[in-house]
Amino acid sequence: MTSRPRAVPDRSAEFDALYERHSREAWAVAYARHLDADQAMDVAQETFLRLWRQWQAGEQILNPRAWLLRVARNLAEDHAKSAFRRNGTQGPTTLSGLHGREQMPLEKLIKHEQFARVRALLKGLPAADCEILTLKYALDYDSTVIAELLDINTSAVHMRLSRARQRLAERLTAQGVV
Amino acid sequence: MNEGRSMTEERPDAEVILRDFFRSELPSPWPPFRHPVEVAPQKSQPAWGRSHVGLAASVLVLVAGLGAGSLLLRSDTTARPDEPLLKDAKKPSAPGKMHKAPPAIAPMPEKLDEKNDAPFSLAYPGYR
Repeated sequence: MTSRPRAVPDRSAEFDALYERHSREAWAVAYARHLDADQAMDVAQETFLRLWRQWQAGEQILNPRAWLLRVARNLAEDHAKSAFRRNGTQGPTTLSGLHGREQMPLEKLIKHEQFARVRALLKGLPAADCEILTLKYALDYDSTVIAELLDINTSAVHMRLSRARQRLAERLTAQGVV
Repeated sequence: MNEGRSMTEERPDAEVILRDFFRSELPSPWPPFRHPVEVAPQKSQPAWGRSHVGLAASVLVLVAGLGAGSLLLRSDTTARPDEPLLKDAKKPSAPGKMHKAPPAIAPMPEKLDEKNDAPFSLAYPGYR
């Protein structure tokens, strides 16, 4: 017999609201570490599961947003270390070079190629810059919100954003993508 | 045939590419939180209970069987070496002499399971 465990009564709605507001942010910081969407989702789910358990244990968290991002970053880091232990410096081979039976439309192929190059370039950036880029381009956050979220000042956000975009643009131009 | 983009075609902006890339990575639709499901603990004997009891019982039966078998053998081996082990058996013949033919198999009772009658009679032609 299975049952859904309850958080502390009356807090389920609060938990759901937190998930709705901050789960994407948790995903974004996890994604910035690995550039793997599925893995980032697992990390985000695990992060909220830990929050759930904290509440079940009666723990009080004063700043859930900051707590969630910290936990998400730590979990993503742990995951990166365990992946390094498993795979070394070489990541697991992907099937990106494998051709399917059906031919992709040309536009889709071009897009796929572009995204592969962007991903490769992003992997060369520091994780902090990837975080800002993910928050800006995936979640459409402006610099003020990003600064508040990362607990840095707005000018630092502008500087990192500008630097990362410039680097990416130069390399994409050099590769003929833009 | 020129399948690539023409020289005059505008190349996408880096901003556009970045936005498209990150948007494509964002899961959609956004999945709900996967609530943990807890299974109610089942009332059961300790894990070691049943298996150990069964093992002990098996060992006891084995030991008892071996013990009984060894007792039987000992009682039989108290006879003299030249005496046959089985009471009804005859003395062993001297070396070089042929053994006599074993006694004929006693006939089975007439009424048997009817199903087995035919095959049995075929296996033993002398049997009625």
